[in-house]
Amino acid sequence: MSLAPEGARAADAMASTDAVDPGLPDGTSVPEIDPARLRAVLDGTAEAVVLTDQARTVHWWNVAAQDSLPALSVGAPLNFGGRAAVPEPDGGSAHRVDLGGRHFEVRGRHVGDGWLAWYLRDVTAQQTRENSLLAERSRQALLAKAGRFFVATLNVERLLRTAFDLLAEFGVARSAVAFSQGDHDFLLTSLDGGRSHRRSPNPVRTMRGNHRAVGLSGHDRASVPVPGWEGPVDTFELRTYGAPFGMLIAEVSDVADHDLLISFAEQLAGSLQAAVLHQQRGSHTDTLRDSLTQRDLPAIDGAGLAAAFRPAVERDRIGGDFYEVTATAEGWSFTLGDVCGKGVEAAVLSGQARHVLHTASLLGLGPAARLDLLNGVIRSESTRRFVTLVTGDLRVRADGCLLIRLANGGHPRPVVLGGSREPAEITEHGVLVGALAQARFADTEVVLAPGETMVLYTDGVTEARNPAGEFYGTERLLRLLRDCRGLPAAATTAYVEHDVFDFLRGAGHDDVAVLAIQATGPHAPDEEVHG
Amino acid sequence: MTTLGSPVSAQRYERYLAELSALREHRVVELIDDALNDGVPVDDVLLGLIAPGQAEVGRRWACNEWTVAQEHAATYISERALMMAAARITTPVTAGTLLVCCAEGEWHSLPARLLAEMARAHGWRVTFLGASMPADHLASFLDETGPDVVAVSCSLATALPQARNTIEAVRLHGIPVLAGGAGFGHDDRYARHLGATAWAPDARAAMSLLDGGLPAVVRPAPPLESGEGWWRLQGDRDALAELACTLLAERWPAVAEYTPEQRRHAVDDLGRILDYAAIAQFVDDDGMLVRFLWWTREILAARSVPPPVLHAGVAALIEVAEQFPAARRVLRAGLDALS
Repeated sequence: MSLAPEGARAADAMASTDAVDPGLPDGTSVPEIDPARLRAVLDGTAEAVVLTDQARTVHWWNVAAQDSLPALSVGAPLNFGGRAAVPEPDGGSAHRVDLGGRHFEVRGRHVGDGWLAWYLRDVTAQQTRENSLLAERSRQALLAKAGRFFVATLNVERLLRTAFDLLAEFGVARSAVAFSQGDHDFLLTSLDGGRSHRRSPNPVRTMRGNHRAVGLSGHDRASVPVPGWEGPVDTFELRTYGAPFGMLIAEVSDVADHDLLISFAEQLAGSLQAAVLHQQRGSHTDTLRDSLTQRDLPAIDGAGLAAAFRPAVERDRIGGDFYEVTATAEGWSFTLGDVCGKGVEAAVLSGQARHVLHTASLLGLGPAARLDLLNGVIRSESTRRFVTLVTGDLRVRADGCLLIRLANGGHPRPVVLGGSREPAEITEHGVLVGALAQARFADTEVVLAPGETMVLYTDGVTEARNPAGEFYGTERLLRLLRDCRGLPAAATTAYVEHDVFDFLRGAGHDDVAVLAIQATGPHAPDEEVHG
Repeated sequence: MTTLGSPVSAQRYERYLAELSALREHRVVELIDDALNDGVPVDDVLLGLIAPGQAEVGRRWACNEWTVAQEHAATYISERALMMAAARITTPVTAGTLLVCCAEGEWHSLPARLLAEMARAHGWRVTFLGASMPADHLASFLDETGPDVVAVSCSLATALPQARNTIEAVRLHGIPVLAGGAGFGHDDRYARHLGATAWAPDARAAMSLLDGGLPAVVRPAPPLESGEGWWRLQGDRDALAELACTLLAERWPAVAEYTPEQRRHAVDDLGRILDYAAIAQFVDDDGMLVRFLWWTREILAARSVPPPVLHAGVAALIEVAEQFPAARRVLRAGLDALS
């Protein structure tokens, strides 16, 4: 066959049934096909075929090309619409173009004599399948991401903010969650796609009343009261264990797909329920902790008090060490102790110990007598638990000295130090309170002159163990306390705490508690705190 | 914040610093009271008296002019002064909730407290968690309180790995983290590297970021590749410092004659050099160790330890750290910078 690249227009040549060259070259067994037949063959294929010269000038096309590339015209440059590039012929990878909402794979080939043939295969169906696969994959990725973010927080508000932020990423500009907790209904909304919460002082609107959030469920769009919103919304129930407890309200969006939001709501429901439970439990723990652990120290004229307390590295921060200073008829009483064990049981024992000691001191019992009483109370309950503690009374004398009487129940011995007073341990060790039926305790008296300090601590200090396995020890504490002579009580406790944790270098530790009591003397405006 | 009233005069600051240096608690508190009564705004009292005063305390401690005990006494007075000024803040809450804490191992809580009080004066509801807050304790606080922003303070670079833990914990909750304090250096490089949402050079800059520059929700921090070497070195740090000191004693007769106390100091110093080598890896910046070595050289000169001893110390560390090629590389860079 001969398709003259020059002179006659190929398309014209092929369009004419007269322009036939029936000659058969010698020696070939394949008959030459006439161009009309050839054209009929090419028109019969679904693939679009366009013939151009080297300059990509269009010369001929088949019927399929006519349908796919309506703008074809002889002598015009080949173009796939808009700015879509025309690929290099004989290129390795398939080139894709979009034409009139359909997708095509384009290949160009040199077919000899300076002609280029362009084949366009309609891959719309394939593309749709691929797109939906990709969408599925990105949906999975988004859900996986949501899952990762959701497990990271147990705070309801933070959880929902993250949820709103993710929804914005999915294409839902505005969303809200309504849920019930106890007798209250809550509605949290994303404002501006969850990005402007910071400025609103209270993004949680509590809807008190009879209509529970659950009552809003079903898919009745009109009844969803999201203040300030107009336009249609979609609602998705939040269920755990099959029971709905709230719902996700999403502004209708073209982008986000419904199935995705259903899966998202399922994930959110589980995490939200966990956060709600945690918050309820958290508030119980708060209540216990507030009533059982450290309270602020009172201000005492003539005495400086300070405490440092670092709970063990555990989430449940109740139980263990405790301290308190309370007023009595004649002055003040103080206690620092350590209950064996952890958790709620230990917290109950520490509460009981404080209660007994407090009552006993109101009855006028001295420190040793208080320990006797507490020992009896714990013994009578046939539990195997015990407590170590130092308890005492203090009075500020007219000369500014502190008169202290104290007793030790198996606790690390208190240390007394001062300007010219070397740190020294005082009191006997005593026995654990609650361990022995016949335990007896003894009172010790000590006088602190102005500037002198008594330091009480729990074994979390001396038994702190660094990564090398060494203990902090009493020796290091006494050496450190030499440097604390003359320091205010608060600087002393901060110094000890700091040094213990420097020593620990990140190693785990038990509760660490330090209580310092200092005679500050009569108030003098120009008094120097450091001798 | 009103800008009416008089700012802090140089004279006022000189008086304040003199009383603070003399550790006269009552006089310092009186001066704060006077300043507030004279109409100096709380912001200016915080930033013009208390902050520079405490910075001077830190400087004296760092240069060995003051003992740790003196530093603690002065810090205690600065804290009292701060509380005194804070008691005058009556701004109603109009902004969001802010949680301020120090990275675990960071005991210098005053800069963080200062930011906390500034924020309160600017209408924020503030929770101040004080010094050294372990990331897991913080995480449970975040579950309970869910603040809008967390500010983490780090005064010493050695607490940066723990600051990273804090940043991770906070970002896991979707909360933006503002990083600040001398430990983060003089630009945002370390803060960004560790995943902080933003960095502030001082309390004023922190306030302007808080008042409008932070996103409401952030994504979890990507993993920190440079963190690995630091973790690996922690377990062997003491043994390596001990070993390097032994090596040093073999080469420097003077070191061999150290008293146990002096030897303990030497081991401490070598350990700290290792710490900074590890931190340099952590933040991916050799300059971290180099600056520390330059500073150590000055301190040692003040203690009349000859510079070659420091050189030999670093060389000894390079020798004993054969299991830690990355740390060795940083130490070599440090040694080069010393020559």
